[in-house]
Amino acid sequence: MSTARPEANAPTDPTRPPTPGEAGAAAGGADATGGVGEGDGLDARIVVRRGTFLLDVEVRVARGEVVAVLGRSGAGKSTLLRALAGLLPLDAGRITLAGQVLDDPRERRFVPCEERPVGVVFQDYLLFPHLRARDNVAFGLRSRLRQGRRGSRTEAESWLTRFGVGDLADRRPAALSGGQAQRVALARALVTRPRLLLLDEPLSALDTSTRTEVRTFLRGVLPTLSAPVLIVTHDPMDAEVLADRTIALAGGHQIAPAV
Amino acid sequence: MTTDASLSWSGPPAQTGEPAGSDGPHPARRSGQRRETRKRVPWVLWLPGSIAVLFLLLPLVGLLIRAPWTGLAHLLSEKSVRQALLLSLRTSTESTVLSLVFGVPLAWLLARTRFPGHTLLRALVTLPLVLPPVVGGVSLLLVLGRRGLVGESLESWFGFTLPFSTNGVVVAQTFVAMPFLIVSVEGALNSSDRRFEDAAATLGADYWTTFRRVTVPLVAPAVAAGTALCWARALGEFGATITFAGNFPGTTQTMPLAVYLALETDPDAAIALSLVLLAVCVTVLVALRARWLPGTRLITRLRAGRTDPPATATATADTSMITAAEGGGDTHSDGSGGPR
Repeated sequence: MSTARPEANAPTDPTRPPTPGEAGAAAGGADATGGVGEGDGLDARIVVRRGTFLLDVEVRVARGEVVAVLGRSGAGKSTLLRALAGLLPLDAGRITLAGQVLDDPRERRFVPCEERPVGVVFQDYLLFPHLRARDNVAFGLRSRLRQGRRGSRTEAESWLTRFGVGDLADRRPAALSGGQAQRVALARALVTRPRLLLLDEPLSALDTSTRTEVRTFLRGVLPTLSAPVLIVTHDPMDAEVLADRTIALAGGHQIAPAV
Repeated sequence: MTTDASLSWSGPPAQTGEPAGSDGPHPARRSGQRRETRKRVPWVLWLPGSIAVLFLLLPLVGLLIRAPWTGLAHLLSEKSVRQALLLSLRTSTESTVLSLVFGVPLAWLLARTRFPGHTLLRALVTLPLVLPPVVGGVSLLLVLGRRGLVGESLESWFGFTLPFSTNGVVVAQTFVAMPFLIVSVEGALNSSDRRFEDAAATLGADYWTTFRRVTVPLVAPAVAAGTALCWARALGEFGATITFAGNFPGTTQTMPLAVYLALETDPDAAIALSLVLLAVCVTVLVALRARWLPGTRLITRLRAGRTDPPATATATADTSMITAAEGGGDTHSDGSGGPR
């Protein structure tokens, strides 16, 4: 239903992927098993050892919640993000997303990155430089959802339009400004309707004036997503403005529950 | 109010301290630096530099001056010349294809995997780059010759002999030229940003899709440059060819061999043949530059139209990445830009 009429969903509920919602409703028993986010959000204890560095942190994000992970470089933010995305296996702990176990070393369970319903907006966006904006967004539709070329392009364009960059569909990333690239990257990450959205330093690569614009944009968009959102940032102000809740990381550990 | 304060507070560190910005110097600043140094270049460098230029260019000028322009058409229409040229073009193209088929996968393995003896293998594979081609030819004879380690079995089992045949020419040229392609592609793979492959994985692309739609397009310029380099090297191959394949007109006498032979009997013909080789190489070089040089790409990019000012660090990082790694897309925009 969702794939048949993507535009029909668009105006009322732009970024809300219908499937997780339905899944959440179907798995109504989730409430019985635990509190907020147990059933359809993210519930993870992440332990990764890299040499002498040890990351050990618990992260819970409910559906529709935006959580920021705040820390200086070297605090383990990137490691956390890579572990959640499936680019790095856990050494211990467990990642559960929407009731599905994504990584659990004890059970020898590891869902590889390309099979995880996780969308990532990378720090410098990593838009494929040889593809136009439209094809960057369509990439996930073709590889993850196995859609055809034409259908995926049409859908990609509707997402670009939704984020106000529809007229830039023909541009290559080099011809996009930082703020535009951010929007394209967000569209690319959301188009496959992930059940978790990860944003890696979404504002750090922008200059001051663009920052304000993008921050306003994200503040408008992120709360409308039904998927849990995790933002990794070094900037307390970004965390405060964008997130409902903040987890502070230092030396691989959570230092204090945020206000 | 608080937002304003935060902006002025958080702006600067983001621009200086983040990896996105440190990827490469800002283009404008870079070119500025270059201009500055050019002004300060002392004569100690100018003088030897100029001598080097003269040294490299004078022989070519001499070739052009002494060329028998009037009899050129006649000289080049001779059958032996045509034969040698066609043989050269054919064998060097064949050895380039062989190099692509076997060299690109090897380059990928060397760049993307680690195994015991990796460093040693890498050194050995590129050995033909520094090995005198004659030594290469001798080694090939020892292995693939009629009484060679492998060659003997090849002949007794399949009745197939490589030395002193056209196939032998291809083998000799491939041996010498393939490392150029391997080095070129491996270097590009090593310096290409592997995080693009991570990004592809987060979008649900499996290994093969990523390789096909991301990895290869990103190093396409290097593959093209390496191919051209490989082809040119094969075209000019002399030592290994004459040692392993001999010098038989029509079957193994390639252009360089023909030039050398002609020099003893008919110097004018040697010059004419050299001119042909020179023309072929210049053509390849010009074609390469027009397509892959950063300068032309800048023009292409400007032509594509950038209405918004490139926003700081990210845009810069993206741009330099593209300059280094943009692939098939460039052919595309060149094609559409040409007719205009």
